[in-house]
Amino acid sequence: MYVAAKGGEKAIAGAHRLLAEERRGDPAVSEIGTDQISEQLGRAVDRVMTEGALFDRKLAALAIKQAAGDLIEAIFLIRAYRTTLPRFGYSEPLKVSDMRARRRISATFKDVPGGQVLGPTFDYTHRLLDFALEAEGGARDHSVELHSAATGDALHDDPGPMDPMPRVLDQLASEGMIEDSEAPAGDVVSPVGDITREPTEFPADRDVRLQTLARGDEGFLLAMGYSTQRGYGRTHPFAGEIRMGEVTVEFMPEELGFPIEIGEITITECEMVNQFKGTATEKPKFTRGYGLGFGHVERKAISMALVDRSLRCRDLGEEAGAPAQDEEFVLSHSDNVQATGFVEHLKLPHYVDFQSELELVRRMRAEFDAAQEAKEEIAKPEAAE
Amino acid sequence: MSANTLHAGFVDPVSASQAGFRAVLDAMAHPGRVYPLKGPAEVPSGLGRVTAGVLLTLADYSTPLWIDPAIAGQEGIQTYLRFHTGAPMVDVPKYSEFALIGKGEAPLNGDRFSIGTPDYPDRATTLILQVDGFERGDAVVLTGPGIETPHRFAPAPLPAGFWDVVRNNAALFPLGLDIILCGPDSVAALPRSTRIGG
Amino acid sequence: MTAVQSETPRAEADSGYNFAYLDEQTKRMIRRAILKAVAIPGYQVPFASREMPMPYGWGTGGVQVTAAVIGSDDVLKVIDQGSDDTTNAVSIRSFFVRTTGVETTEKTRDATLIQTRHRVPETPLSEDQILVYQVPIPEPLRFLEPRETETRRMHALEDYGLMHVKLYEDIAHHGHIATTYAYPVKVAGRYVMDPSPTPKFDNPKMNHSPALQLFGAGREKRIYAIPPHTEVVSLDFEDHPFEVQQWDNACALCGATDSFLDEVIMDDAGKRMFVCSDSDYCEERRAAGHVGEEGVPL
Repeated sequence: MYVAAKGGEKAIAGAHRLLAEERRGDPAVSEIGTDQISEQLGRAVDRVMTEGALFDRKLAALAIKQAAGDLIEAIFLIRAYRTTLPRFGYSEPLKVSDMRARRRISATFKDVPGGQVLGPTFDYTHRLLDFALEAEGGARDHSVELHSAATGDALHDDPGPMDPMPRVLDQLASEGMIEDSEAPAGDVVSPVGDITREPTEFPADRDVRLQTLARGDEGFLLAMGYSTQRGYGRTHPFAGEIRMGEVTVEFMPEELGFPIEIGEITITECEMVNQFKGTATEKPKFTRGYGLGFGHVERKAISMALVDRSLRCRDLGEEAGAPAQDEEFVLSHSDNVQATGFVEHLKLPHYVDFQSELELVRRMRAEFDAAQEAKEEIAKPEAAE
Repeated sequence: MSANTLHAGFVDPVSASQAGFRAVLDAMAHPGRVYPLKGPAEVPSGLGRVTAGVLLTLADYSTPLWIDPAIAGQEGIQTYLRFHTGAPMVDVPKYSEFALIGKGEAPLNGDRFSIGTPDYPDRATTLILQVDGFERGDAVVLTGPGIETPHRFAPAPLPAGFWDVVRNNAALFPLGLDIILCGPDSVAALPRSTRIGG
Repeated sequence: MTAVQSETPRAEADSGYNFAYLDEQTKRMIRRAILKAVAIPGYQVPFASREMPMPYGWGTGGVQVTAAVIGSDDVLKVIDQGSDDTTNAVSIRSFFVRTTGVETTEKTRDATLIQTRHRVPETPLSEDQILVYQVPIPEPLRFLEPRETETRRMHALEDYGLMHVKLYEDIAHHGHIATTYAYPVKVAGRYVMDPSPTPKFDNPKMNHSPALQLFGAGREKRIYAIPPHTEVVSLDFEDHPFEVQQWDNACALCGATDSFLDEVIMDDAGKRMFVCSDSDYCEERRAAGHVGEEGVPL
């Protein structure tokens, strides 16, 4: 006697219990605090905030803990929470030029006003496992010394009192060597889209593309950006400026009529400078690619800037054909919460559809055999002669 | 009651909107059939309770609303709907997602509204009309999706040219105008897929 | 049979979230999309799908449609692969019990709202019921043309030649149309529509169904609908008419010969049996005294 499997509810409850046990690990090891995650796994927190599209270190740390360190799962937790939050409105545009930069480098000039500020970076670390870190309290200042030693005269390891830090690309703009970053005064500017409120339409405008890229999976954008460097839609990029630091967020309440400061966030920005050959009607000049993320997310910001520039091929009248220039391809596949859902949903039962395929393949095999037999039947009398 | 009083909206917005939506959904899925709908208890004059219920259910800050200048009590209705729905009021019917048409026989010109585009036929105006009932008008027979057997329908009063707008939907489909008719205590609909005759 | 209510006691709706989880503005946006979908049968209405507390691919589109439609008077049934007890059906049902407190049922007849993945119930539906499908890829032309800009234009021009070419190529290569599920249909004589990955066995049930059928695709941000009493035609050719799957077996439990059967592997030696995929239909038949080869009277 066959009884169909029942008890899905019990199985689910059991799975949740096992998951909690696995997440906690050996109870003899002290439990990790969300404050420890926030303070000591900052780059993980920054990635979760950026791709989760919510600036909240505490919640990101909680999500990482709950997700047992699975960052895409943590990003998903943050997104699902974010979508339930009430919306008060949009902040004023960030004034990134006024950033209190802790890191600021330009690859296009030897020195720039405000200086090259190395700040906290892995760039010149030697990738040698530091076993002293295994012991609590080990090797605290070691890496800092290494940084300073490698910096050289022109580079500060600490910005100290703030020098004014004009944007590097503004220098090029003042010579007319690079496209404007803002629409000329008097142009009709359509309202900025919001990908969390409206489904994306293709072709998409740059505001929608940038929003999608900002939430996009770091690994995906990294691969896409990398592909442009290897020749699949080359854009001749130079890192005009990368800055990381704190900016003030302002919000204008309708009833006040003027903006008020509501807080400060850490962001990373990358402005890429790319060659543009010009057209019959336009002089050659430099063009821009732009990347921005919450926290210290340099790899993401650089990748995003590369992909942003590649996706502008249509606007700039460039020949397009490489994967990173394919707007629908890039925008439709960059979101890791969507991607992981659809890829992983293959785990769900599909036996009804599979049954349909089984039936068809069996029938087609039977027909194949019957046809073979019929052929042999026809061949037989001939062979006998 | 003074002209400045702002009437209340739904007492329990969550369940009232759900009930309102199900009535409109039933109506849209069964063109020409009439479904009861409870609107808010008090509404500004010129605006039916059912009409208010439909708009409170469906309109919000993202749905431009056009109100027929012929509707009496314009100002009170605008204030009420703006307060309870947040819908931006537009002067150009083409830009509206919902258009509230005045009751009576003043002619209705369907060309003034958006019928959607071939790529996005959904971006069409939904017309909302107020009627006194669904039985006493000149009867038409409806066919099309949602209708099992040809269905008799006789709303009144209707603007002159109303049935031309509905007939024209057949030529425009899948573009066209969707229509919600609000009676004193019930609602009916004529989606663009509905045909007259048959 | 065990009623679902006894497994999950009818809970007070979770007070931390709005009724049916979604905020009212989101529900309004989804409701407007549903109305346009009903007015333009088979056309995929874009909507601003929200992130849900379950992964994309698990039914977020269906869940959003259900959440926008459901009221406290509704009686909800959730099935996956035709069964109420598959893990994801259990999970979605408990989500709505938790966020709405509505009554649930396993009986197709008793439900006012049925959310489904991959099946249409065998028991004929009525006018008082709404069937909500979970849809992974709403675009029937997607596997022929991956670009949204292209497929949108093809729908606009009613240019479905490519689809017919594809189906005919199947016939040329295999002697059959080799599509067994998500078999394309034409709705009300205009739009070609993906019926979601239901087996083509279920396509005829969509035709002139008295129930309203709503389709939600969360990741792809599309909602579409088939109004009641609407013509739904499976694409085919005069010389190769549409036909549904057939089995040589009857359901081993209830003896049904008219239902979609799941093949169950019984042992290492490859022994198989066939049972109804629709667990409620099977139960109902057994309760009425039908007994299959391996079944016992209830």
